[in-house]
Amino acid sequence: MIRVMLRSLLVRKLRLLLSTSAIVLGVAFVAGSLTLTDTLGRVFEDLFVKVNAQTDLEVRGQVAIDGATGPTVLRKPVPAALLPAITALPGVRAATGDVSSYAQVLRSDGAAYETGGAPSSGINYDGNPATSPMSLRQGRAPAGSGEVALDVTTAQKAGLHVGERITLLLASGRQEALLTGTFGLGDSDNLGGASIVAFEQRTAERLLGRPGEYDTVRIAAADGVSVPDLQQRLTQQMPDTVEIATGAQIAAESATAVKSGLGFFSTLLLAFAGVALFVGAFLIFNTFSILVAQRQRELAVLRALGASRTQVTSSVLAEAIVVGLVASGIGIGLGLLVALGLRELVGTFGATLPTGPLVVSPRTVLLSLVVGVLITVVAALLPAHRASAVRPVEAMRGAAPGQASTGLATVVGVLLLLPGLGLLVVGAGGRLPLLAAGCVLTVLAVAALAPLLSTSAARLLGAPLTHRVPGRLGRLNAMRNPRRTATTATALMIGLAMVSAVSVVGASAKASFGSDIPAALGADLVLQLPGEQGIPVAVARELAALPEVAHADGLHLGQAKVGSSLTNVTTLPGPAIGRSMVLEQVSGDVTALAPGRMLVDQDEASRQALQVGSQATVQLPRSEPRSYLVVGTYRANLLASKYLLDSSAASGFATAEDTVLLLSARPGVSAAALRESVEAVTAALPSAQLRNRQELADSATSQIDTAMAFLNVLLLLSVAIAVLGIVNTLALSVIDRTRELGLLRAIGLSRGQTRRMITSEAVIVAVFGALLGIALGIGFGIALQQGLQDQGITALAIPLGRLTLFIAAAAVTGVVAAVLPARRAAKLNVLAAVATT
Amino acid sequence: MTTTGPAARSLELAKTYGSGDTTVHALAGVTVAFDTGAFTAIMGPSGSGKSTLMNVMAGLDTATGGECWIGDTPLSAMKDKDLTALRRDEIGFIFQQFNLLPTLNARENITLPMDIAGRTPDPVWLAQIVAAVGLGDRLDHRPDAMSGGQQQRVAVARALLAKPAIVFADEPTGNIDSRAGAEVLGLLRRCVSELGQTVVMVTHDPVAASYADRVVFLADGRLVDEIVNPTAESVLDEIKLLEGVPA
Ligand SMILES: Nc1ncnc2c1ncn2[C@@H]1O[C@H](COP(=O)(O)OP(=O)(O)OP(=O)(O)O)[C@@H](O)[C@H]1O
Ligand SMILES: [Mg+2]
Repeated sequence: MIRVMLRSLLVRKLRLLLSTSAIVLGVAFVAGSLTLTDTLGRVFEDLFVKVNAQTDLEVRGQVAIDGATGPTVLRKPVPAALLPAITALPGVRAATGDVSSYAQVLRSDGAAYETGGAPSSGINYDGNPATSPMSLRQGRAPAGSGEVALDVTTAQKAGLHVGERITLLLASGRQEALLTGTFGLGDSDNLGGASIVAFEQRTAERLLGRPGEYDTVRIAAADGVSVPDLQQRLTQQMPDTVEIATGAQIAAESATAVKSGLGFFSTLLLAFAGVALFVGAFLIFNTFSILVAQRQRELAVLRALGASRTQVTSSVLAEAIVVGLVASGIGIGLGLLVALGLRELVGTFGATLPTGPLVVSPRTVLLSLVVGVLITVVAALLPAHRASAVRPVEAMRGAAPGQASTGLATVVGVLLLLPGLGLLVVGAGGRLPLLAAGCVLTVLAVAALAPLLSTSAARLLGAPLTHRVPGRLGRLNAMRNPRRTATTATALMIGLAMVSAVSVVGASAKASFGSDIPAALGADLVLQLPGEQGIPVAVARELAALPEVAHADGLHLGQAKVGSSLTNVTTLPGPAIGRSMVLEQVSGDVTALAPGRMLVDQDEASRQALQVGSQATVQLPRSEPRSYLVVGTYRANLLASKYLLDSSAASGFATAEDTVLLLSARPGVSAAALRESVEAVTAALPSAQLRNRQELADSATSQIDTAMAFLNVLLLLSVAIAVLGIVNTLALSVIDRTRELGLLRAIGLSRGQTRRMITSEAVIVAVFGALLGIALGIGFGIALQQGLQDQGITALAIPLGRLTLFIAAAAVTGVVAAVLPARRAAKLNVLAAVATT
Repeated sequence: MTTTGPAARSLELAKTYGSGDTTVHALAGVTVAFDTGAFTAIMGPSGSGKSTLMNVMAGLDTATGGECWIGDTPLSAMKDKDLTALRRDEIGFIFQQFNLLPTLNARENITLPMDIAGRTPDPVWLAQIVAAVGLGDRLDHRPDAMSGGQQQRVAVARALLAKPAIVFADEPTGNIDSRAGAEVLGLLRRCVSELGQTVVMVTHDPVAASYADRVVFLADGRLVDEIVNPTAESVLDEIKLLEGVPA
């Protein structure tokens, strides 16, 4: 039996190639996602090990906010007074106190050096080889107060040369310095895309640190001293406000932090790979169904010759396993390219990912193989079962196999549809996991029910084509095998449902932000720095003093613990409410914000059982827990976080600088005049983002556009697989109908007409799939918009123009998908075709 | 196209398959003419080149030597596009099996070549043909609901509808029983006698050949003999005679 199966596989090489392509692409996506994540993880891991290699031990403050966990958590500073004690301790060879803060490098042309989201930091230059992670590459270490060194990559990319004077922007303002040298970290030139400026120790402490405080103290143990011993001794001698960690511990913590960040990225990619594989499964199902139907006679002969049903089933499944293995193998190879492609893709959407040799782990290979083979086999189960149902007597008849009934599928479809819709409705209330489950069930239900629709749909959709014979024949062909048409269309439906849902959510988000942001902003201009960097206090003060500026209200966004939950809070001056930030009051009095009082987003308030008059305990990183009185609640606001505190609380944040500055003009000052004078000041901050209401709304909507574009690119693969499905089904149908095509050609159907006939069928199938997908996508999109209301997506917008465009695109896709099968059909040798049995 | 000359003819028509040792001369110089308004049968042993001759003359296949004409139109220089148009407009086909499109009903199958050409069939002529075919109430049925004989009669009607210059039929009764075969042959005969259609038919059956006005005999790719106004007996005698002749 196996030999028979292998023989038939080889004979059908072309068909095999087409049907495997779906699995190949899906598996490539899986393998590529895993490989990219592993590679990035390894790059960071290596980096952190390198950076911490010189550090035997580190003294660091306790976690600033009780209960906060994770390696990137905000910590209390280390008192500088501890350093002499640490250095004097026996067994300590050297110890360095570290400080760091925001430091933006200006390029040689005066523009800000962009890091693509990575930090721009200033640190102290550690010249002690015992503790320093830095290795000087060029020039010399910074020595005086007017000198700095840069990491190699930043110096290169910013076009700055050793010996030149360069300009920096620090939290305290603009700073000129002499670039004395460049350094690497271990043997890498850069730390994950960040720009690092290093100052001489004392200068760094003065410019970047707070007096009497270090971020951490790094310690090198003396030769022959056991690090764990030293760690223990230090722990005993140091006060309780600090803790002692080993370099290896810190490297591991940092790597874990990055990896958990990557984990989200990886999950996102794998989710899209899953969609692609899901679509691929439909394609495999269809291919095996058609192959089994074509081999009806052959299978019947096998049965007549004594093969058992089990043997027939297993021969088909064995075929599926071979197909799955081959496809997964190719897919894994292709996955390496996908990994590179994804890295580029993420790059084009703004984030810089570090490069490094690709890491293909055994887990990636194994998982990809298992997933690929499993999907193929599962998709082939039903066709295999049908193959075994062929009766031996059919070997004697040439009759076309009867259509299997769609009864069972209908029952399954209805049974899935009801809970699917139910979950959608429940999920739309805000429970997104239920919503996702509802989407999956609904898609499966519609897939099972689609054969019921496909004949009428093809009749209807094909109607405009019937004034010509090729169109009429194509329409009939689309109608003749409801299940084949339905499965092919369903594959396209899935991709388009996702794309449409993304479109609806995106359009709704744009509509919401586009109207809510201007409404929430009372001020005329908003000033921000990239990455929620603090605005230098000097700049803020200068702006407030401008004659054109009536108010300059500073917002400070940061982490805090409210009650028992970690969250973001915003501080602002009480009078700013109403004039700079407009709040929609729900209860209490939102204008009553004052020291010791707080305002709460109404949704959050009901979640936390807070109301006007209740007290809530808030702990900020640098202050003790304190009780605040809730004086008002407001409807979710895109400029504010869930809690608003008075500016007097801002001293509890780790940094002194505000993150947002809301500027309003004095009466009689024109928008242009205000802007002009503000820009004269912010010119000192080349990366400053100064926006009016409209620009703020636009920047939010353009971010949505970017996110949508990214998702759509990932979804494109699923659509591509579905298109391959159309190609595959058509190609198989052409083989199926060889005699018929020969006959048509013999009685005068021209090559062009033959091509148009196949194309018509493809267009009908594609548009059918698109309509199903768009209908589902609108439904899913509405449910998602409802579910995301408390994330600020309050308005529903259905981008009809865009969705209509999708239908047109689907029709074009059909035309493209038909090119090869149509050419093949048109090229058929008439005589050979007619002679085919 | 002249109405007086033959509907189709060939001159030293040759068709060679393969090369070197495996060369097969399916047609080794056949000169033949099929008269307008006549029913001609082609007979000969299996592999003698009957189908090849028909296919080449009907523009389904190309010759490797010689020339053939439909009416006055030589085929050897024609491109696929023109051949397709010629087939559509001037030639009718009846195949041994799988003659009809399964997605169309009988009436739609009959009018298909006209539809392809974008022409409307003459309703009087259509009614006449449908009547001759004698399908009556089965015209709205799909092929899978008809017997082999009925399907073949629909195929004959389809071949006739466009009033082609010539109808080619390759063993049209090869796949159906003798009673159904007789109905099809009777129909073809009437088409020639009553409607003036030209028909060329390949057959193995002396009885089928006896419906024709003339039988030509092929052997080893050559025309070897012919009988005018054949009967089943005279055809059978000729076959026996040819079998006695060494190849
Ligand atoms: N495509 C081909 N390639 C090679 N040889 C061919 C091809 N088609 C036909 N032949 C050969 O040409 C010769 C004539 O074939 P043809 O089909 O015309 O015979 P026929 O008289 O119709 O036979 P039958 O009565 O069996 O249908 C045969 O020897 C056949 O093997
Ligand atoms: Mg033959």
